[in-house]
Amino acid sequence: MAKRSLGLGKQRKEAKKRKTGTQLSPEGTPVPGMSPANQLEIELEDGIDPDDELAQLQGLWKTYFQSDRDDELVLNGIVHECDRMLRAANQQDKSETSLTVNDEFYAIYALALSELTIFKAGQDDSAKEVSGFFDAALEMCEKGLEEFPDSRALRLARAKILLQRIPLEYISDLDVTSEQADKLKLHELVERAQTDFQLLESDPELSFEILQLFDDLVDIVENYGHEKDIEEGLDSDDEDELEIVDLSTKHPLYLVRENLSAHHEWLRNQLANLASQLEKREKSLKSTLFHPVSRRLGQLYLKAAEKPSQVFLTLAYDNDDDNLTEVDGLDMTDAQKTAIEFTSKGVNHLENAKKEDDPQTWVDVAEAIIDLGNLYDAESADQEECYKKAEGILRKANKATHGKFQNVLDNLVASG
Amino acid sequence: MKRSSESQRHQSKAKQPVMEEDKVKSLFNEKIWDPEFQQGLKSEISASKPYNWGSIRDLVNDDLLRAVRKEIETEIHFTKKETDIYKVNQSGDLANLSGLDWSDLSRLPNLCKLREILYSSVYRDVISYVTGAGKLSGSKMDMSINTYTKGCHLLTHDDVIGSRRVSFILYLPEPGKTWKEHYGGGLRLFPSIVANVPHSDHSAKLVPQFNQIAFFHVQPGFSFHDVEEVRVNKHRLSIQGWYHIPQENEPGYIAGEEEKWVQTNTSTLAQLESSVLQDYEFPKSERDILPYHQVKHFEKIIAANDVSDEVKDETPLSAISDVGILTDSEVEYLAEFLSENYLSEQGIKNLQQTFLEKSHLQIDSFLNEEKSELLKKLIKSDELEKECPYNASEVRNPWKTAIPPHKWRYLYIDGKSHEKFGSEQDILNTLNKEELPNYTLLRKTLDPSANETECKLIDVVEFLQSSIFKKYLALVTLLCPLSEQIMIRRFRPGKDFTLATQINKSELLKNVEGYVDAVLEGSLCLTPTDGWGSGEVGGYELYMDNQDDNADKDVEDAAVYKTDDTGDSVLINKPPQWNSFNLVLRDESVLQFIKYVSWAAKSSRWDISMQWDVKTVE
Repeated sequence: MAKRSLGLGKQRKEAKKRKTGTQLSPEGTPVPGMSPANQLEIELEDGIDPDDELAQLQGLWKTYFQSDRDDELVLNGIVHECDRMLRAANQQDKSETSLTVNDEFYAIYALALSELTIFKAGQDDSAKEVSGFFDAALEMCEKGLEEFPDSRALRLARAKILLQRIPLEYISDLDVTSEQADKLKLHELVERAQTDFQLLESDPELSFEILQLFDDLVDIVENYGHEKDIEEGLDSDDEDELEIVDLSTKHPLYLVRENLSAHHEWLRNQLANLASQLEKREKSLKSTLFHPVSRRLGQLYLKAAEKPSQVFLTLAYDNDDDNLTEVDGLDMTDAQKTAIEFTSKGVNHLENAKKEDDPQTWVDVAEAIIDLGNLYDAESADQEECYKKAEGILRKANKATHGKFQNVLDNLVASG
Repeated sequence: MKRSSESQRHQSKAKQPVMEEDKVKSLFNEKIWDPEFQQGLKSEISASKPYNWGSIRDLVNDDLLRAVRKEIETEIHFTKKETDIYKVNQSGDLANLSGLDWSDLSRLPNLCKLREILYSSVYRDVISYVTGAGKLSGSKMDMSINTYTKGCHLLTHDDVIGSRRVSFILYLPEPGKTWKEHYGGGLRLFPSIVANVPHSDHSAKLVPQFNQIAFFHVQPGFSFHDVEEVRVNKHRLSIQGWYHIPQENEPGYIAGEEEKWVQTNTSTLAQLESSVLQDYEFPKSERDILPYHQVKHFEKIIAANDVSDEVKDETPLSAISDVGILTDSEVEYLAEFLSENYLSEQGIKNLQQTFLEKSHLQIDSFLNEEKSELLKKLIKSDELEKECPYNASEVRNPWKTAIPPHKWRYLYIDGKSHEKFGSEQDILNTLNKEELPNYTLLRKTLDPSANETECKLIDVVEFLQSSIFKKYLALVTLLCPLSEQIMIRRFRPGKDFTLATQINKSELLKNVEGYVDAVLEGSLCLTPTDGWGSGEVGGYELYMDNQDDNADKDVEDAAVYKTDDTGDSVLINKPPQWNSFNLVLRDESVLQFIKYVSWAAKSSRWDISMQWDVKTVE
């Protein structure tokens, strides 16, 4: 009879038997499931000498950076390799140097050290270790900057390390009653990170990641005291508005929070610059970076429009007091103008973020257009046009997702 | 993975301090003690559809329930568990509370109080009266706490386990807030076509609110229900429990009643496996026997596999040549659909070797680029631009809905006439006039412009049915196909799944010489979207070891699977992909299912599913 497959279940049983047998077997049949130590494939760009140690390190770092970053062993490997190379570079007789480290080397070393904290944070008694890694990472930046004072890569690395450090090491240790503002001076660290940040055209991924870290930080500060509520997922229900939790002037986050709107504006500007850089770049970066950058930018403009929108809607539709002509220094016309300006920008950026095969991105646009419609004068042609356009998009998205957006559509049609 | 048995549940029979009746009553909404209210509720329940069920708003003292919720939040640990039938955050069983130390009990005093009043004699009498279910046990307490967060669900089942008489669910979503319908998490009740065969779609739904209880009389074959997937980031917390048949020394105890009940009423799974019910499931897990003139060529091909090329020239040509390799014209035919990489002699040898070693093959980019691109464009545009039916009554030719929903639900095309089952008679009519699949004929009934995707998929099915493709299959597996079943399937987000089942061996073919006690299964996954990799949105096809074949099926829990924490029993876990062909020789010990596709999935999961009975050839 011809040899045949045993069947999935039987094959597994056989494999288990073999596995038990292997330990005793002198022939050393390979044990299923045991593979040689993890091997990493590194892609080097064309024209790079594969024997070039720096190029190898860059390739390794890039591979790690673009992976899921869940392999501590690889990261440790990178740190050890950096350490070895730095010692080798220092020991060499300068005249016959075959290994010279550059600013990018220091940046990689610093970023890898900083990245290690992600694996350490949250473990018992890890505070000191985390702090030590951040210190070492910043030290590496300083060392590099001594040699290469104009290096943009190193300043960008420093910005990233600072923005990683603030939440991971400092904020995680605070609560709403903390009062060590003088000691921590977190607002200064935030400002230093902003000063260090410059878009690096050669590395838009890193630039975006740093802006995302800044975005997260601002978000943490804005919602400080509500961490648990957010975990419960209040985002899914419009009626739940979070009240800002008051912080004392001595709270380390107080000054950062005082500057929230300036921070948001800074973030919008940086993201806008990044988006216009990306618009000119190759197609592959469009979906990986241009879309998410535009999406966030759109959301931030809508956020900026919230306050003037609220003022306009209150004064226009909810005002029983004839003497009330302005709120927070904004009169109705100004509020309307500002709100429309921000919301329109939001719509434009969300349009840029739209993906043909992702109905959620269409709905983001539709919802922003409804917001815009609400800001035009009641029953004006502009308003009607917005509602009509949004309804069209929502109907299409609803069809594409089998009713996922029915409640959004119902709300629009019911209020129309 | 197996269903946990009655004996493994921790039902508390321990004594605990008894509260005064007045005290118990004071902790409930006083309306429930009003005979008029009880009478009204009883009439409502007896007239309710699809079976006897009811609900009470604001059941217990609001402060007590808020305190219970607080205790649960702070004191109980939830673990997310996922099986073929559910995804839910489960707490530990509460039944052993009275067995705890007093110091431990003090952690959950309100929960303990709640349990006591829910099982109090005076409240049980109300439930017994309004449901007409007969006396209920107060000593056999059976409760658990679940929280359904985004993506959590529990598929259709009837709660028939052991001595359960009444099921109840007390809801505790966030107090003071309305739980809205679009959050999902509703309790949905299914009408039955006949006993044990529920309709595909529910006919009643309860959107749960804080301090609302829903309950129903457990009726074998009828009390089918599910928990709709929660669609938002919110906690739909609930306490689920059962009232059992009275136990010895309790009022209403009848010697032997429980044993008789358990013996008569089998669980959902056992029903599914009974041959009577197999008549009522569609599509049938049966394969149509291939004509012998075709099979005999496959036999020769496999026998020739090891023979030298000399035979090649001597073989007369039929639809397929009898040599153990592909002829040029066969390669040409196959290449119209398949990637050429897999058609070379070496390519086939490699596949053969892997299949021999693993009884499993995964072939990516199976269809050639031209076919793949065209199908992807069509399926994507169907997904984004066409309305997809979500109720069985709206499903149109050539699609049909797989039933019953306590086994599976999905849309399929099987090459037979359209059918829609509204009543038992519809099913009997279909059974009386059984058809064989004929895709060529089916295509002729379709409007080629309105059903372009379906027509192109049917082209693929016809290709897979061809003798030349089956020759290719025989070469890759060294197994001779004896029968086949090929279907196009679509699993809609928020709707479709299959539960874990074993293979259905062919009774007709089992005595054929060389018959392999297994089914060869193929699945060409044609899901045109990404985002499935993590398994979060379901849709994956899972093969697992059925670790305990001899479990006592009569007492299996229809709703609760044992979690396999080690993941050791998982043999294959394949998320949906584009153009990926999975071939498995599945023997009897292996369970397989396709996980419920979440609302959050970007599209339906599409595939062409294939099965063949096979034999070896000497």
